[in-house]
Amino acid sequence: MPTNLSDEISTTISASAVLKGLRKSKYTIWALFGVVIALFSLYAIVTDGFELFFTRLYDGLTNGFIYSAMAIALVLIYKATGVINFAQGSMAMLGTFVAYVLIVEQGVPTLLGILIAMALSALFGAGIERVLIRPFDPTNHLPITIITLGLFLGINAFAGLIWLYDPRAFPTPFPSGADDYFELFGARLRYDRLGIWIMVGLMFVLLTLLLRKTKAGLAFRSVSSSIESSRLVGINVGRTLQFGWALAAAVGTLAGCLIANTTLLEPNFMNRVLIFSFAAATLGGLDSIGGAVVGGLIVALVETMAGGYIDVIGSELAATTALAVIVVVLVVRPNGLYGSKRIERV
Amino acid sequence: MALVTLTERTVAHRVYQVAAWALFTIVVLSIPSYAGLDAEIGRWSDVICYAVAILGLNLVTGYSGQISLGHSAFVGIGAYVTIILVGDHDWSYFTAIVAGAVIAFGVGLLIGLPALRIRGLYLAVVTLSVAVVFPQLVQKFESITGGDNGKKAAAELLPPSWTGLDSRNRNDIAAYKYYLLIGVAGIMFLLVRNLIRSRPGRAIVAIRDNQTSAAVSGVDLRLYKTLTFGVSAAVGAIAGGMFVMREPFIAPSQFGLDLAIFLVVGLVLGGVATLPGAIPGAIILVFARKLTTDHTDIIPWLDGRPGAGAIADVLFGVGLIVFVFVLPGGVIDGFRRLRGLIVRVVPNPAWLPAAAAAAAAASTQAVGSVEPVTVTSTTVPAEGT
Repeated sequence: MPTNLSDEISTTISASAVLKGLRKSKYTIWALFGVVIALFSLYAIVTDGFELFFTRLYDGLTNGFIYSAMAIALVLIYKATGVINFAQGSMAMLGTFVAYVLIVEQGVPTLLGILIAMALSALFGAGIERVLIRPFDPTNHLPITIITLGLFLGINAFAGLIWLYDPRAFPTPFPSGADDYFELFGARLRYDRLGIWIMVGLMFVLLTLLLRKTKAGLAFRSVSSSIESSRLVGINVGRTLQFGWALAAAVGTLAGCLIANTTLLEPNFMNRVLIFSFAAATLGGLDSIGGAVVGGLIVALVETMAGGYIDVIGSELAATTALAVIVVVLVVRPNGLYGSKRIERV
Repeated sequence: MALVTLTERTVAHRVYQVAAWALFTIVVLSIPSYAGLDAEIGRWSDVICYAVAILGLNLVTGYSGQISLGHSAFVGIGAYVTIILVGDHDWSYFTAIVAGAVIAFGVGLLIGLPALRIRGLYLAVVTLSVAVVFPQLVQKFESITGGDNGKKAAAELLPPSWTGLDSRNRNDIAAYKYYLLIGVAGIMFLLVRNLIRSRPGRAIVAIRDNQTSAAVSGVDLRLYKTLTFGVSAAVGAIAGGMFVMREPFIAPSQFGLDLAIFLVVGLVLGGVATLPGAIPGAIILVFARKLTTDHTDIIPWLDGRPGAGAIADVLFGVGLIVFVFVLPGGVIDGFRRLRGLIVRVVPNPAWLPAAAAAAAAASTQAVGSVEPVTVTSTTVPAEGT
């Protein structure tokens, strides 16, 4: 018995030492992640084979890029106004319906229709910022959060009244015939799915360039780090926040148009996506655009892979698992993976 | 200026308070006889259930300042525990509701734990996840919860003979349930009121107002934050059990994200961080939908349109935004301002130190409507005057 006890003590000590070490080094956590993912992939390939694994991987990536796109829109608003915009999905849905009217009912070319809808959404977003958000003190978050909740309810119901709740097919600008795919690692990768990856990637690059290389982008980054100091150096804070809202609305509409093609278009089609995008943005750290992309991919991959390979979870609990993972990550890292810590002075 | 000025703790003030309470009680108790039909009484029973659910949310969002979008799940836990214990294990309603509250208290503590590390919007996302996950869990454990088809308990609350109500008359049954629910709700409001006024209650409010200075003043943040979440979840679960008392049939879709958002709507429209605000909030939730759905034919464009009732949601959304601009204190704040035009309660100088009395008198003259918060917020009911 004594030997057992001492064994136990030594293992707990070593375990706590390991935990301490893990907490200190970010890279160890990533390495641990890598090992878990590698083991899981190995198990998955051994049990169900190569093809299914890659099919699921592609599905997960498609969902991931979609979540990322919405998460980027959320992050832009968070950086600008410091709130989570609960109406982001509704605004994107409205933009997508505008694109639908333009493309399907008016016969505008798909890509052009999406671009026009993005421009209109940007105007709409800027208008919302000016009329509903700017009158409030930007440091007081509760009223702004409630306003976005009100927009969420109102816009969704309004769209339901106009367009009713029948699902509609939404066109894609990419080739989407039955034969438009190629095989990669034995699994089919469709061109329209690949198009989503490319569009979101392109958007990410353009957005990063916009924020890093232009004067407006510099102003935006400055305002998001400190409103007071930005005002002192002569930045028009209101205008800059408006720019952030416009940008977010346009990004959201693009995301909506890409998603509508994979699901179907109806007034509530963004709600489910929005929740995963919240999770993705939170996981990434809410104020990091790169984090939003990583967060989106992680959420979607956990959802698809855990749902696909672990029987207990199945499709019913896939979403639950993805959300549970986020809660666990938040408990370990309260500011998300890439979020900046907020230090308050009393 | 107010028509009547009452001095605090004089006979006249006492009479006013008692009269207001008496009026409120009479109005509440006479609703079944006015409403008449069982559907109409049932709607008022809904109001009571919603009011208790909003009360629970108010504890965590209004008093402790943490946005929770997951209260639908706690209401759902209370409802499911109650219906399972009553329907499958032959418990009585009241012990089952208490059991539901205890379980929800535990779950609330668990969810409150991340709240210690996660603040503000991160917490909103965590609670939002809870709201989304709950219906999925109900569907997953179909064998005990009944899954998507919902769950029904055979045992219904029937009025015993001493009440003089007919246990075969649907209207009488509805009235009996209404009175039971009023009793439960009354107990809950009283408990929460006492909690808010107690030492822990002040600690909770101190955390909301300034977390750091609360901690410096000796408030145990960890203890009180988790406890608030737990208690608020328990109150929500009682509301869930009350829904089952009202109608022993529930389905997972009732306790989804929609409910969580509507509770926030009711909280904001009624009045954040005031106890009586839950009542007008719940009345708006129940009757605004009913009224707008019944009268969609006023607008020709809506007449006969499928799903025209969605106009209620548009109005809720617009109402939420308008209230934040015009009446951030909610309906109850508007009601108090109106009442302030008629009755004004001023502090009794005899009860105050002389200097404070002089200052109070001066500021009353200057501002015109200074009312001591304790009097307006709790001792006078919403429907008084």
